[in-house]
Amino acid sequence: MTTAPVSAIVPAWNAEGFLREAIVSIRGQDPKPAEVIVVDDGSIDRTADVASSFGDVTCIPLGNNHGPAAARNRGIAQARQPLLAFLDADDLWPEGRLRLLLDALERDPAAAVAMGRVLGCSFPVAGGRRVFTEPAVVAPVFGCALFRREVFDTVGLLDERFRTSEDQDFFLRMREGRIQIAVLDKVTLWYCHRPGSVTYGTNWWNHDTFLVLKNSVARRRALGRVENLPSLEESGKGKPVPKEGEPLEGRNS
Amino acid sequence: MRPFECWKTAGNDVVHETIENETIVINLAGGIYYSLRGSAVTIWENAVDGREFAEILDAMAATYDAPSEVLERESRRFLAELEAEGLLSRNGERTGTAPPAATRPVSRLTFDLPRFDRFDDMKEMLALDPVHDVDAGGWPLRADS
Repeated sequence: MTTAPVSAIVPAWNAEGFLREAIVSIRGQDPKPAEVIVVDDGSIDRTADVASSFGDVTCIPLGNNHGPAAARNRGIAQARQPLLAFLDADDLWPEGRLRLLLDALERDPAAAVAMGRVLGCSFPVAGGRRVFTEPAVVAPVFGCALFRREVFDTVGLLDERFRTSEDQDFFLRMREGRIQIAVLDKVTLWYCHRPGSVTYGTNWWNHDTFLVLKNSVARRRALGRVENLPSLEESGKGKPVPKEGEPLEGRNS
Repeated sequence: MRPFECWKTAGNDVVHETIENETIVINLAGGIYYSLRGSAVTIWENAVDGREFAEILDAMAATYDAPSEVLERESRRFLAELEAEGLLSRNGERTGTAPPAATRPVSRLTFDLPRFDRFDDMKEMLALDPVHDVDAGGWPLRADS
């Protein structure tokens, strides 16, 4: 099996029951990521033990629970590879998803991000996985994408003020900055639904959602651009990949 | 008895929150969201609180420095726009509590025409709705599962 220059970052919080399967889905990719980083976001269970049971997985303890945005940011700071991918500890990468996304970035050098579709499914796998969102959807979720590292230098890190909707916030900021995104018509994330997850038993919108939208509109107003953003597919088309350190319109300050 | 002239949000698909003098309204069904500021927030909040048109006008007059006929005309126009947009609907009953006692500011605010900014660029976020929007019973089973 070959290795790809990818850091796979797994934020995990009290994930002892499902982290193993998530890591197996990462290590089973061909090529597989050069490094796997589990960020233990203040778990009080055996999450760190599960991560450490894989000899080639780095586990970073955060101490207290800071939320998925802070955990991903810590993983980004630790990552040593030029490409970054993410997987929440209770989700799964389908077989072959990393190859699809690597190929997409290779085909499209101007694209800073490649992403596929998200398929919602039940948890656990035992007895067969049940799929509920068909067709799979294009959605602003970290786990379905592969990022060139410079995206985080230009757009900034995740906003740690958000406990939820932090992914929507980041994808909005990418679109405000006209970051080019290659969108594949293939499933690259199984988004698993389980009792106890952050979004289980809730509506998808909450205070963070309204605040994310308010902040995005405010950034557009500041630029005199009170208008719709380009779609994920159209974002940044015709614009070169931003260079490291280059200021971007819409950058989150 | 004269009918009440009241409004309510147009169904469960319309959700909203006011943060720091700006109201964000999301129409889940259409995947559209709106930003309201200034006098638009005053009208929206009093309307969704179930107050009568006369009470909405009282709130406007207490807050904004403008002739009453202008406040009435512009408030009616904006409420009609919100109805046409599918965000508010007429309510046959008054559900709101009495407005707070009029505390007319020493100096009222300059009146800005009530309006909204409309965006439809987050439809893909709504597309994830079946993933997130579940109740305690979990997701519905697919027929062949």
